[in-house]
Amino acid sequence: MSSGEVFINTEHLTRDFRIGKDTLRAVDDVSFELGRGETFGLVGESGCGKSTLGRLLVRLYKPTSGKILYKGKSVANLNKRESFEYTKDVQMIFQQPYASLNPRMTIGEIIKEGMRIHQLGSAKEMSERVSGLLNMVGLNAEHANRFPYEFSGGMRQRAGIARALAVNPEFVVCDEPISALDVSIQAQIINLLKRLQSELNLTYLFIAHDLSTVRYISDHIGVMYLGSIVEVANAEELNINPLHPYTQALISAAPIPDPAKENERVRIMLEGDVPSPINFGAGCKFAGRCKFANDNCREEAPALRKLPSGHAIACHRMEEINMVE
Amino acid sequence: MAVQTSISEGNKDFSRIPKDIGSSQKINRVSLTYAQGVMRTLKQNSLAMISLAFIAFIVLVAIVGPMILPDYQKQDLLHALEAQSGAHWFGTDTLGRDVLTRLVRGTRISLSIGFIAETINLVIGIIIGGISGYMGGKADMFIMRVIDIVVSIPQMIIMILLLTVMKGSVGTLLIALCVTGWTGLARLVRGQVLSLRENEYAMAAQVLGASKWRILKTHLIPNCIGPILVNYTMSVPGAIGAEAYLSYLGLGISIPEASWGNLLQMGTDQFPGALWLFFTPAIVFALTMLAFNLLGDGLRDALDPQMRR
Repeated sequence: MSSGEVFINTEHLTRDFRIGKDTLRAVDDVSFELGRGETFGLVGESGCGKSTLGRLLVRLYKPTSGKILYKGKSVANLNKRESFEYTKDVQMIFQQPYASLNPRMTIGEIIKEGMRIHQLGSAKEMSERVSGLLNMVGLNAEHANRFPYEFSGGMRQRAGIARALAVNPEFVVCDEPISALDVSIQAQIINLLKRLQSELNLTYLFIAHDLSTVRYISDHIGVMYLGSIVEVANAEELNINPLHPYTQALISAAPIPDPAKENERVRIMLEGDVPSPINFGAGCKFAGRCKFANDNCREEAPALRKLPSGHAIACHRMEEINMVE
Repeated sequence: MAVQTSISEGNKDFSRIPKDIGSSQKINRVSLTYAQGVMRTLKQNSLAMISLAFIAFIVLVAIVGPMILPDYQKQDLLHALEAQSGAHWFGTDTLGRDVLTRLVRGTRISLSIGFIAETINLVIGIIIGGISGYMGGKADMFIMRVIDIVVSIPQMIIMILLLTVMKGSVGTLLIALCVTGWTGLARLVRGQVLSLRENEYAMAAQVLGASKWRILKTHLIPNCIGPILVNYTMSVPGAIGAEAYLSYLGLGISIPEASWGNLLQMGTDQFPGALWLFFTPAIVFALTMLAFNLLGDGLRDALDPQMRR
């Protein structure tokens, strides 16, 4: 699906939050790239900084250091008009279908807001477009006059998608769009997002904590641990041949929908807890939980290096570990 | 979105029921706007509804009354201090003025002061509280410190000081009530805005390129209208009470103009000789205060989503 060109990428993107006197590094030196029309899946456990990364990309947060390049241009250097254009081109779908719609506005008003801000057409054109968008996301035009409280979770999420699409974006950050929904609705929303992507040639950053859904929608998957990307690979490749010990543990935690296979396989159980993201020391962040860690791992943080296969991994002992297996 | 089902060969009795996405998404519930929903709950609260009716009646009297009644300043010394009669339903005062006419005029003055002062406070409070909560940072710091300073001086002292400097009139009373009155609402709005701005719908608007002003105006303020309305309903009697208090002390509205405060003052002067002079304004005053507070309670319940049915 990718046309090869780099559409949006980040270089050494870092974001700190001040917590009293401490500094919490939510996103730590993250570099990745995304081609047009691609879906980049981002997985990791809660609190690993995936949502912060997503919010950095839609500029809800300013990076502490590093930069975001959109079509090769640094987002920090955009002028006022270009900045405004960026809010049209880059949209976000939110996690909480209940909190992401203003309870005082009708669904139609909510969807229209972006069009109003960017002055896309007359009042009549906007109303027509709202009907079109509602149909596109699987709702009825009649729903435009309803309030969010009358909708179910799945319907609200559809309305949230329609709001994001109303301004004709090119890049959409999906921040755990399905994690608050029922499993049956999850499939509907995933399929809807896939369909919309092919119809509108959208580029997605798809954030989730669940590998099985990410695997289904993504072209490439990045695995995040404590603010850093530890492994990036093609979606298939990552599942068949995970190289980083953390990814291996993550994949082994996902259930297999076949009881026979499920009983046979060996699960990798990680010891210990995720260390605090506040003031962590030098060395690999995963070292404390990794059974392969040696002194070098505890002293020097591994950089993300690219392998000839296209796989990228941040691990000192990658070769040795994967020889053993 | 087809649901995959497999039907075993032997079971021919079962057939799949086609799924109709269109009708499954139909909403049958009558769409209620926020205000309609609140009114529906409020209507179930009879005390609040009686209070609302009483306030509506008092307001109507204040508007229409002085137009149809004779001059409230007309003196008739031959009929001074007369008790209730056919000619003077609520009796006359020390200068023979009709108590009913003066009470109606006083209602107009007292209610106007209450409503106007609190409306001014409402506007100032929403603007300052909204800016403080949404802008954050240094602006917020500065505004909050100013409020702390204003609040740390007792309100009554500020009002009494101001009114000793200025001549008591409706205008000066309004100034005295508004110098400090906006702080409570500004704090309330700031707190609400602080919590609401973390909501995903506020973020969604920001991602869509909405200006700070737009987000504040269309997303944040409308969503704290509930607590604001309750606060307003509870503050109006406070302002009316403060006016009565100040006029009673001779700092506010002075005779020959009428207000609940100076009517009560004359009532206590003549107490217990002419009881009607005291009890007539006292009862109206007390009932109005009670009605506002009961309505405020009812509104608070009606606006609480957990109380909704």
